[in-house]
Amino acid sequence: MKYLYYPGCSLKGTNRAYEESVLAAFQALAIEVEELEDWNCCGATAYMAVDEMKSFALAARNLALAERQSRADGPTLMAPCSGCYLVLSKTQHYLEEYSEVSRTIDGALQAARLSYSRKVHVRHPLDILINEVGVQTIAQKVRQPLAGLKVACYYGCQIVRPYAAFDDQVNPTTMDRLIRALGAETVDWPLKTRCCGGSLMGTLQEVGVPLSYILVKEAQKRGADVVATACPLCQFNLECYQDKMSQQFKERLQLPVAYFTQLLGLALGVPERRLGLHRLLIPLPYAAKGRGGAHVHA
Amino acid sequence: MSTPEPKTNGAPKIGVYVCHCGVNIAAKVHIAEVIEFAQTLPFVTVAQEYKFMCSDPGQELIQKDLREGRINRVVVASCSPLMHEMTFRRATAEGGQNPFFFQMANIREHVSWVTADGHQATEKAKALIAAAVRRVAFHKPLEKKRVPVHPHVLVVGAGIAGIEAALKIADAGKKVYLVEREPTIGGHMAQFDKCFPTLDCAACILTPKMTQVCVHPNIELMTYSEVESVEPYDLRNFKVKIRRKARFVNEDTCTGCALCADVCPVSVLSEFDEGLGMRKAIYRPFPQAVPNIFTISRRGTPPCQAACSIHQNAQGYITLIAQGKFKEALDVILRDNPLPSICGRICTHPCTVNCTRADVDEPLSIPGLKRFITDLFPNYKLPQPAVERPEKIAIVGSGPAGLMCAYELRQRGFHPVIFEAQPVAGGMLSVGIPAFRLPRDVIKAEIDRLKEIGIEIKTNTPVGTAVTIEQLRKQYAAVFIGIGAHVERKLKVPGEALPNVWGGIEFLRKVNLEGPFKLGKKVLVIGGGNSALDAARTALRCGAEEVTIVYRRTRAEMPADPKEVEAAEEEGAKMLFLTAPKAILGNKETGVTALECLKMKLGAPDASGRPAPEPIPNSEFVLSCDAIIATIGQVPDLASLGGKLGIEMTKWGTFKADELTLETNMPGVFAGGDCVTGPDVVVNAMYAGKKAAISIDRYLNKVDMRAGREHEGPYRTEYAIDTSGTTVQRQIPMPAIELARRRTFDEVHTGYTQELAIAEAKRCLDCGICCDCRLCATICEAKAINYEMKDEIEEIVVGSIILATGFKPFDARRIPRYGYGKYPNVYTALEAERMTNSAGPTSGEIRLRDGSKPKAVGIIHCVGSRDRNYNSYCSRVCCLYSLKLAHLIKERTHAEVYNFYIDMRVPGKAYEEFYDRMLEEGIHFIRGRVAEVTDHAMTPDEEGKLVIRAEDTLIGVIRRIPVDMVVLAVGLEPQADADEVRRKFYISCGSGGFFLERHPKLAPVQTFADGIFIAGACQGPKDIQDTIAQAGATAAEALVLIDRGFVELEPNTAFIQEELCSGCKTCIPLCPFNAISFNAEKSVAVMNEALCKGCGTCVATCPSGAAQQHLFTDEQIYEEIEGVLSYV
Amino acid sequence: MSEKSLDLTPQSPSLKGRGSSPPSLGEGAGERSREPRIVAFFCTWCTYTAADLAGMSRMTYAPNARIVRFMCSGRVDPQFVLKAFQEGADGVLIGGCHPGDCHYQAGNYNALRRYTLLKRLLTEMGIEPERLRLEWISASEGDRVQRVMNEMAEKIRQLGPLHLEPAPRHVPAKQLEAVAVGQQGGAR
Repeated sequence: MKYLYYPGCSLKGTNRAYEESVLAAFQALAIEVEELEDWNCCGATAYMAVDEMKSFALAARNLALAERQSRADGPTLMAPCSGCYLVLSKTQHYLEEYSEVSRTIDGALQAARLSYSRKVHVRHPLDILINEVGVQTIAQKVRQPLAGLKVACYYGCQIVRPYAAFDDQVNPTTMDRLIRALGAETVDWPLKTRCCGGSLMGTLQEVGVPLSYILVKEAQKRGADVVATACPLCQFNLECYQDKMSQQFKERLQLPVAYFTQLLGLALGVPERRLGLHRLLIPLPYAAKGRGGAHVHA
Repeated sequence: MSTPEPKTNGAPKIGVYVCHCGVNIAAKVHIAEVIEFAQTLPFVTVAQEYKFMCSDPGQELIQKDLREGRINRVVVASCSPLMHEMTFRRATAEGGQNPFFFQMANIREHVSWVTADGHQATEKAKALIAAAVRRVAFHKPLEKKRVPVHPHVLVVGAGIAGIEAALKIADAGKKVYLVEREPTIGGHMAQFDKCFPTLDCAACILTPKMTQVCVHPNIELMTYSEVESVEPYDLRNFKVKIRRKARFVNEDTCTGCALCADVCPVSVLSEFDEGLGMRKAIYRPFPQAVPNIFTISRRGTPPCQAACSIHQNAQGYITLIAQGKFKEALDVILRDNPLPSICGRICTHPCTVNCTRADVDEPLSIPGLKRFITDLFPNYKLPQPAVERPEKIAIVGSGPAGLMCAYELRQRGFHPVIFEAQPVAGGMLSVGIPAFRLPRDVIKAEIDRLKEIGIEIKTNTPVGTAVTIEQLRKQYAAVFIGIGAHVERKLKVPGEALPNVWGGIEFLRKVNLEGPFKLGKKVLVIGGGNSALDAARTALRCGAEEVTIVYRRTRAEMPADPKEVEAAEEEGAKMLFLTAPKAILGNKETGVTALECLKMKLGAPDASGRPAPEPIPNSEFVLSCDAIIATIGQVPDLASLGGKLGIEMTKWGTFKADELTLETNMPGVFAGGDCVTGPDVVVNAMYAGKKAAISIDRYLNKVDMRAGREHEGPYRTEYAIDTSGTTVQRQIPMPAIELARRRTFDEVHTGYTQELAIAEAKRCLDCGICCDCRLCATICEAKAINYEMKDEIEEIVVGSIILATGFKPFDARRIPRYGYGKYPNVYTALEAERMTNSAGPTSGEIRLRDGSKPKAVGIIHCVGSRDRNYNSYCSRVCCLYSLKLAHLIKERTHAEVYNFYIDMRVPGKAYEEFYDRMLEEGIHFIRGRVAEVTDHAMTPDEEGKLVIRAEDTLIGVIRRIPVDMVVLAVGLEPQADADEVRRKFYISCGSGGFFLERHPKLAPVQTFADGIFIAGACQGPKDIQDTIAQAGATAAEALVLIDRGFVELEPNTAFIQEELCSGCKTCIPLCPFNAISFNAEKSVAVMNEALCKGCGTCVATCPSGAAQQHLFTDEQIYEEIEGVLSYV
Repeated sequence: MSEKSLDLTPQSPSLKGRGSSPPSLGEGAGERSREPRIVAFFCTWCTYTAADLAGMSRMTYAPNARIVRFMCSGRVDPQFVLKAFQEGADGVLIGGCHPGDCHYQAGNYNALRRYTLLKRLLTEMGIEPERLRLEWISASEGDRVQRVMNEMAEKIRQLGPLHLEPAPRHVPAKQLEAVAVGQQGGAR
């Protein structure tokens, strides 16, 4: 089974590490991934707020391209960025549910000499790893068990809300199951899908910083060595603002925030550079101490 | 039966009466227009309108026109016939016509109420009236059939609803069967402490009623019973089958003294206490239970016992060990095993293979625990036989088969005499198994015990030479042959005859009988079974410096017990896999000097399912050695007696014996154990001995040797046990002597200490719940315990049935964000009820799991109710029971109590006042749905608390309330099996899944099935007050039927017109009530109208139109169809 | 079925009392504009009661269906359906209890079998099988009655009116009277 892959802007820019680790990890699992050709903006960010129809059109074009590029009937389009994942899923949903949206968009696609027959399955890598590959298979392929590493799995809001396509909205477990399969421990915490501050970090920092502080603090309090994320924006918010949080809340915060795919890659024995671990601002204690599965704490 | 000659009332003169139903119809349907239309219809002589046709003046209109001959048939266009058909039929009858010259047009429910546009409504009304007119012209006079109603009543479910209904009917002097599936009556109400709004004690008002039920002469109470099936007994009454589930306690003799529960070693979570407390395996849900009778929870034979060839009751003695009841444990062991100290050491314990504990971590060390007990009581005695019989029975061979057979026969009173060729008794146990695994004194002790109970053993007495089989057959009533398999298989390689080449058994026998002797420095052992390991470890103890086990497959295929393999390696034995002997090198003088071997590789699986080893060509190599021990299996010693016995043999050189009875071709001569099966494990030999003993007993009593023996021997039990949440706790290894001492013949394992044994025993998961230790039977003075009890089916006939099966609380786990099952101090309301109950698990104390008192408690309303994701309906009782709990919690703990509600719904007498009182008591009320319950603290005062996040919609802010305890006011749901049940009783369910009443307002306790009524929460969520009222209503309904004594049936039965019947029989199998039979000589179908319920399926099927249905004849329906279509 | 009942064809004008029917719902034959006519055969225990419930809950729905009540959907003879089409119905709806809920144990199963066969027959007769619909509606599903009634009306409106060859005209007036007056036992 070959998966079409939609990177989206942030995986090519600020969050290159996510793309690197996704591709490397999937390669290590011998899962074929092919990038969508000539893809465009997923339609997230301001579009959705300003003019929904425009963002649907943008997303629909990517879906149409996916259908054209894949020979498979009903191809799977993998979207690691949860922003892209949500907009693509939402568009798919609206095209099926609302005739007027569907009419307008078809018109727009026609103008671009494209057509879309609603066959694409938009899926998140977590979904694919858990429900297609399966934890057993992954566990078997683990070369460097992450023994002793305590991970706080943080899913963010977008991959489970509003469409809980592959996990529970309130208490998701797919990432936890995956991370445990890698030999690491997961910390049980209630903030798995709580807001990270999102784009408020850029607009209303006085609101954004406290929100991500709540997460980092709680994860650290519960003894996590690292927070695992599935979203570029979450990763960015949680990692880059820790100094600000520290001074604002008068307590030292120093907690690495990595992509779950980076941890997956590590366990599968992928070299650190190919996982973009060197791009982390706060180095992964695990990586820093080198392999060997010894107990580690930040 | 042929068509009745149609009576007629002359040319049709039809009166059409259109009802306004106040404005209900008139506001939508243009009555005048309809009247005008009706006048144009065929045969219509009168068309009138009236405000309320169902009123007396309305009916009078009809009667007048009938009496004065203006009309002779009636059409009323008003509401649904399900509502007033009876009314107008009566009017027609009182007007002097047959009531069935009437037809109704439903222009309210089907027209005015459902049509937006007045004009369209009018047109639809016309069409329906036209249809009614056309139809009624074809109506025939009919007589209603009267059927007697059986005076007995069945009440299903003995919660407060069932109890109330049953008492009412019984007090009226009628017989009631009250069926309850639980061991006690009382339902949910029995679990409560106080009832709102009066806060009177639930027990105080309920228990008197419960006892009344128990003693009432007119009530036959069937607890721990379920309705199996409900079938029509006749046209109107029911034949009900009731399953009386086996409680294993005799209801008549049990006095409820509770001594049994005191001695019962098994504790499980108490359902009645919502899992907050424990109960015993033999139990009574609560002290005031009615009936005051105990019940044993048994899930069936546990996997360990089922897997054991002799069905040793492992769970029994394990549970007792866990309780420190060691003497009792011994008794349980001796119940089915006369050689426990031997089995405890060397049995291959198949029991552990299916041990449920293995799903969690590792199986229990069942043999280890058995051994612990036998070590603890070294001088235990075997039970003396209860009977004595004259017959003597000869047993050849004193191995486990022979010993077990002798024991079983002795217990049956016979006098067994064992003939043993060897100087010592015990067979393979004594000669084949080394002392460091099975000390000699242990064997001796076991054999002495057998002697003590009167079993005679003649050693050095080989049968065939010393005595002949013929002599035995003459002098003894029967003979059992269990001579084992002592003759070595040969390697069949050159050099096998060289000195210092030993057979495994030969070697072990010599050591066991004559003591250790020097073998040489380097010893090779060939084979991969347990005896290979025994030989190797014995060789080491005989001073060999290097011992290597040569095996042609790999470790994975070794038949030996992995634990033994480990032990051997620990002691220094080496393993050489995928190697097979080719030739033994050496000469007479030097003896064996080396073994030439071949390398092997694994090929396709063979008969045993293991991959067959294949030699690798030219891979020969040589291993030097001083001695070789070949352990590749044995066969029975036939040379000595086989031939002389004249017993049939198999091609494998073993005795041929019947699989089930073990009888040989010689009558009265039985054989079993290794000499029949080939080398096998001890417990199977014992199983053979036992089987033979049973056969011999039957043989001598001249009863069928084969009947009912399926469950002898190992089998697999199939029931899933939920092991989730069981904490991992690996098997406790048995202490052993240090390696240094493993060059002597001291026993390697020293056995569990008391502490270890108890700890190990506590790992048991009580698969069977009741562990069958039978302590309760020993203590019960009333002798009420009966382990053999089976479910029984009782059949009753009743005329009415009242369903009062109640509700089940919403499962709070379905809403993960409220943390039930995740945070220990989140409780459901029912759990809180139990806590507040002075007879409950905390004797009325409200405390957290750690035992401390809560300082703040949050009660979350509408959990699972008023929520489209779960149940959209309101559960009605939650607001009030939440108020009640709030009051009780505050009263007992002085905690701050917060209620989180959407709306307070407190309608009902004195309810609002109760609410006010709670407000005055200072209970906090926050209006808003709770978002989540979390242990995520954001401020110091939230640390270690449960934080309830909710929007306060009154002040418009999000609030975080830290509390110690959360109570979830879970809603009421239909019983899990409500759908199954309602099918049994031919009734329907409403959208919420609750039983559906016949009419939401006018017939709230009736159902669409005649004579079946519903009361209480099974019909919809309701409080005790309403439940009692409904129960009374159902009682009244039932009593009405009984007092009238009969019901009139709609005369809509089918009939057959013989002259048209072609005798094709198509209708006969289609009738669900077997009302149609076939008259062979007339070759026509015959309808038994007494059985016909009037569905009309046969009529629709009849190809010749011979079958017809009163009130629904073809032409009546054709007319109706034309009617609705031809006019508008 | 008995020969006679089959011959009961549209009534002679003499009997066809016409109420003041508006043009919108005019003559059965030939008018494109006319509202779809649907006949509904409902079993009394489930579907008919559900229709009552819809009424009690004041759920308004398309007025096109006229309900004929039976004790059981098992009584619905395929010829009733044909008769309805013959008499100018554009659609027929059969309603019974859910499988396993039949008041008479198996009537609805028989209805289902006949329905499937009948659909084939209709196709051969040149009647769109969509004009016949079978629905399981329990006594508590008033909302479902509303939905089905609306869907059905919509469907039939799409299909347009059904036209069948007018059947040979007998003179049923006399018969009708005769039968009603009961000259010939049980109309046979």
